[in-house]
Amino acid sequence: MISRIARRLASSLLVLLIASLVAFAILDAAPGDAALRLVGDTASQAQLDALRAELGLDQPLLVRYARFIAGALHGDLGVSLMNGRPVVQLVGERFGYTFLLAITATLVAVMIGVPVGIFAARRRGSLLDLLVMATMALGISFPSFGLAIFLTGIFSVWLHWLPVVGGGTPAHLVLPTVSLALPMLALVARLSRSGVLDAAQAQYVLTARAKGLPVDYVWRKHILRNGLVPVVTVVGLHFGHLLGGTFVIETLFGWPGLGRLIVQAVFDQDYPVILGAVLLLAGLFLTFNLLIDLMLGVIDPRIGSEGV
Amino acid sequence: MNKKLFLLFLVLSMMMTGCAPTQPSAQAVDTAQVAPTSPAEVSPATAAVIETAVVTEPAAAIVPAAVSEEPITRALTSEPTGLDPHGAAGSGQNAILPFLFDTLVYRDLDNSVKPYLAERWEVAKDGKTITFFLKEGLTFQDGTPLDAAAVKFSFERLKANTKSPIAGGLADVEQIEAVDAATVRFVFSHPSSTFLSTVATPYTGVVSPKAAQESGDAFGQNPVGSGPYQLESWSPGISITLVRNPDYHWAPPVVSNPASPLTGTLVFKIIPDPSSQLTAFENGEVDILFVNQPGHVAKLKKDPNATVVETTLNSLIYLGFNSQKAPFDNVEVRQALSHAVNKEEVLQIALGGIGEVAFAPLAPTLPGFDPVLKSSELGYDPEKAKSLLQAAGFEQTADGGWAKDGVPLQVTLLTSTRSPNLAIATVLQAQYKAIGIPVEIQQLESQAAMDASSQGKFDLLLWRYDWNDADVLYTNLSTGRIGRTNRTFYSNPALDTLLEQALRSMNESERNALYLEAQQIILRDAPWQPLYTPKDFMAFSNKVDGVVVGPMGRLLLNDAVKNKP
Repeated sequence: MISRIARRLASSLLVLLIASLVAFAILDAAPGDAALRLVGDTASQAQLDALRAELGLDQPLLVRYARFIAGALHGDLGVSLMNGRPVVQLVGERFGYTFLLAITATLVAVMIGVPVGIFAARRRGSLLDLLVMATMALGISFPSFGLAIFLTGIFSVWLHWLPVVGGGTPAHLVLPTVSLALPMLALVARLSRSGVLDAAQAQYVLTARAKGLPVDYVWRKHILRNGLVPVVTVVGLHFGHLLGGTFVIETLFGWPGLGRLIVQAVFDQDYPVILGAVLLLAGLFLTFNLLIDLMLGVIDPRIGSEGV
Repeated sequence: MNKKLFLLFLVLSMMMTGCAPTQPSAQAVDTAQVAPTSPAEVSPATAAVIETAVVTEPAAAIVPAAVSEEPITRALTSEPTGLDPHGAAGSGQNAILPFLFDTLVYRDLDNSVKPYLAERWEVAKDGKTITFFLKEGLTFQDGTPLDAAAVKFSFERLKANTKSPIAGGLADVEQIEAVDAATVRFVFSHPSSTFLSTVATPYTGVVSPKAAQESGDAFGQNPVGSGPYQLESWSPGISITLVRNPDYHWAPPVVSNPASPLTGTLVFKIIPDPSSQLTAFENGEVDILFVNQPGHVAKLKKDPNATVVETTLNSLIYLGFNSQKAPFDNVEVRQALSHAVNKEEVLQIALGGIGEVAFAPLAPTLPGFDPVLKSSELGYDPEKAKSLLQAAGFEQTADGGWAKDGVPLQVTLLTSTRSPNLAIATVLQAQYKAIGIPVEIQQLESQAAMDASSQGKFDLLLWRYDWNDADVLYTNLSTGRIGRTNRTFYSNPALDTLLEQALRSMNESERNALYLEAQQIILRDAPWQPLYTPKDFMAFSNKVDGVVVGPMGRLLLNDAVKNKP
């Protein structure tokens, strides 16, 4: 077990290193010039050159990358070109908000989606099952941002119950959470239903019933536990995506998350901030993948023994 | 069965809300219609309040209380990265800096430069010295005096900051002297006619030397100036809150209240999405917002609770020709393509009539603009365009196109993805097609478009400038700027000389005469065809009285009160 974790960690670090190199190279190749953007149109060539040298932009790509990695290994991701604040601090300020939103959305999706899926599975083929699943299909195909616009229209502009924009209070959290959670909830419900139905048809379930175990016991011990394995995988991956991909929702609701910091940094050509945030997200994504794998090993010991 | 019905209802209601998204917002406008008061109606009363406030409260130790404790909230599209006026300029900063920091001079409603912290200034005969005489009793928000030494410190700090966007504007300042407590003298290597324009920008705001030294690099997060408001709190990504500076009493005469602002608290809410800003305005979360999408402007103009004000922009949208690339290295071809443009049609079709047709290279709000230039305009005249093409050696082909020595005339038009460039480019494309010139539109992301244009990778360039002084012509059309800001690669020694002279001329009428001549050359040689000057809008809730909107949409809230009793 321990050696498996160590192996996974080592490969994750390698992926992270490659990700940082790719991000660095892409930012370098992207059009635009940070120094030119800062000094403005009236500055002379001498002023521009002085700033380039000050920012280290006159150095070759590999030298700059080596400096960046050396700093990163000491926990120093550099400073923002715009305000001189440490990138670690800037990213830290915003990350909590993104994390909070991702957690609440995932919790809502799982706590409602899984019971709904199981409920539909147990009434498989009924009209109710059909209706629930049709609604969920609608939910999956409905984009978060569209939902966000409808929700603000109803709950903010019309009913005046909830604020449109901002962060910091629970009321501000409601609409972005619901907007992100509903499509995920629909997906979780459908996966739960199909997963549970697959498991219910397995031979061991038949065996369990044949030896006289009560229906509820079989559901709890044999069907749910096995049927929900794909749900865990998908929820874990989706959570990772939410950490990096809530930019649109953050923008619509003025939620002060990491996605907005990155986009602002892109507009400002503040490449240390972009790089730092991308690395953090890549690192988190790898961490969650690792955690999911370990969790699956606990839920279904066969996965662990086969050495994923 | 009941459960099934309920679910059916749920599905149906989701579908219905999906079909009619605008319904709720329309209703909200109706319900929120609470007896609007027009600003014109109330402003005399506001003025009266100020007078009594000033008379009954002399410059004693008593801190005058704010007249209104109701905060005024403005929506900001981008969050400032920092509030150090001398640091790197991100977007969003401009909207807040003037509340925190004061400048030696400011721009009045007519865009002219007027005294602010300086009571007056003197320019030496040789133009190489400018002396500012400061008002008396100026203090920073930390209680330290704002004197000549502080101004000297502040400008030296600014000059040393390599990331300031106006670094170029101060390059000629050689020395700054604090002559006495209230007199500060700037000595220049050459006379600099743009200096006062530069000093009127918020980037030259005077900072408290004590606070700047104590905070060091963190000054942008802990700004201390002398402005009407001071920073109270900053929630990253959410909002920035300012509170009134009780000691402030030197407001410019553009507002009627010279003393500390009437409203105690200003909140800048950061809302990146313009549509969300509008929704937040409708929901009463925001009182003031900047609007530039035509759809939003139209909607707000119909809103009985909103006042929409046009703001002047020192900007020009122009069509540039790559003047060193064949066939545009021939002035007749540039003139021909200039005559083929119907600017009025561009404005009406692509911009819904919002903006003003331009004929001069300088925007009408800039010094050096002259209505006389209308007579030098290469106006819409397709027949003249055709005869100029023939004069340049082009012949009309059988399919209605043009060719010279067997090479057909077809061009690419480069522009950025910024709105409304594509709409303008499409109208231009149709206008050129009408005289037989096929145009291929190439749209690139802003940064890529900047790179491509400064490298000359285009035939026609749809571009814009936003700048506060006539030296924009020097930056964009002089030979020395080719490869950087001179995107049309136009080079004319006669024009270079005129523009350089204008940069050094401290005499306004002489300078204007130089710019007039320069603009006539530009219009005749046609590296640019000026298209139009854009307009932007500020909208504010009718609950707020006394808002003054200055040039470039600068907000002055010294007189503003929300929910006036």
